[in-house]
Amino acid sequence: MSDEPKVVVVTGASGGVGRGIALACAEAGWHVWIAARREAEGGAVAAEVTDRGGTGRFVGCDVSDRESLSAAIAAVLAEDDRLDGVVHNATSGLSPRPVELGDVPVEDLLDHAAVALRPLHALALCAFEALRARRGSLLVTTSEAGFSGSPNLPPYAGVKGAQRGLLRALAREWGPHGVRVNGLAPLAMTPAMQRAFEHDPALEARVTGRNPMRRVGDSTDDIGRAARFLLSDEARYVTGHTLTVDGGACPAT
Amino acid sequence: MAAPEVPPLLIAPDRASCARLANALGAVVEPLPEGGDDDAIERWRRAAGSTVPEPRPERIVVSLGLEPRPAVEVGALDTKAWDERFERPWVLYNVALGAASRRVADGGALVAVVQAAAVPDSGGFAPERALADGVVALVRSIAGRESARGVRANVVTSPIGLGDAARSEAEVAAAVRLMLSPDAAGLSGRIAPVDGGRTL
Repeated sequence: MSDEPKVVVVTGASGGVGRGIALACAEAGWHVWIAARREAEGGAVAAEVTDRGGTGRFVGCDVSDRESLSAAIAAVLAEDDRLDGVVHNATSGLSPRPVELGDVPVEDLLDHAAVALRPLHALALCAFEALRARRGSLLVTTSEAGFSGSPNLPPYAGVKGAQRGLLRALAREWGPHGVRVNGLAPLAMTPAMQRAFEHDPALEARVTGRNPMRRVGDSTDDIGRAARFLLSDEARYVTGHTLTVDGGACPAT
Repeated sequence: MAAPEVPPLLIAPDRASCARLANALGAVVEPLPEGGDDDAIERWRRAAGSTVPEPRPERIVVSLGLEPRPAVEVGALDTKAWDERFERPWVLYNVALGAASRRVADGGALVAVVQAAAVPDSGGFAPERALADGVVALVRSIAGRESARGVRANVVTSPIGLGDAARSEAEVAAAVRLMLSPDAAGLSGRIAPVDGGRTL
């Protein structure tokens, strides 16, 4: 088992942290499936994975649709016959939009939950058995906002906190079966963060100023490699844990 | 003669445990619609946001109740069960806390009450664990945003009905009273797990 390249699926990998994780997995020669809605963007990342030494493939997937996610996992298994890891990185497109909690319509709350939490339940139904066969792992990209809250992005902070709770409980349910479940809370320069900085220009100065390493992480070299560690055999005894990969910014370690 | 104390406001659905909490706190209840009727919840949300009656309450509690839940692993939950145990209560907590944060008076206190198995006991109670950690993030978001006007926001978690570390509803009510009181003036963004130390 340890000589075969790992097969991992990454959601929300068309850019940002998801793409960084995919490329870091490519460096290790893994098979990386980019599960995304748009083939143009997802396929481009899959090609980058192949360029970097992995085997990159695209599978069309809307993570908020249970059947779509289930079909995507089935397609991966039909092609590669195994599944070592799933990285749930996708987040609602509404996430970086500053808002007051009382102003968020129910429809938007459901969107946040449908992209962040519902896929984790769906994966328990459609991917667990495959992960169990490989003693694989599930990795969820969370956020410091899930620990500390976010005054301007409360619904985003809320679902990130909920993801953390869910992964901690799932780790207890799946541990006896050899499947690990972890979180990764990154601080990375991504298109989403860029948009957040544009909405609030003072944010960038605050973020880098309070960072012990005085910089925001790189999605591949800083975040992706840490994610790869959590997915790898080197982390075989790490589960139920959220690793903050943020230059030391988050005080809740 | 001192003015009679203004009772706290409890925003909660019509459930037996919520009525008991209201009694224990001497609270006035603002009823929430039941989960699942998204249109009704959206109408409630808009009505709650459109007018903020004066005088604003200085103490607001949000709870969805403490009814017992069976232990069911995530892989054994069907879509309906996931909706009932996670998505519906999740929407209600967001909407209720959004209204509470807007409505609470300057210098006031807000407490969210949520069921939660301690993490080591959370197998079989993953939706509840997700709700609890999510509510903590929501409350800390509110605490951060509203601190400029002196508002404090905290969370009381209860394992009632979830396992062998269960404590009485009276202890939960007492913890809520403490968090609402001037004695907790320096506390915001905190979690008080009413489980005899089971939660780290």
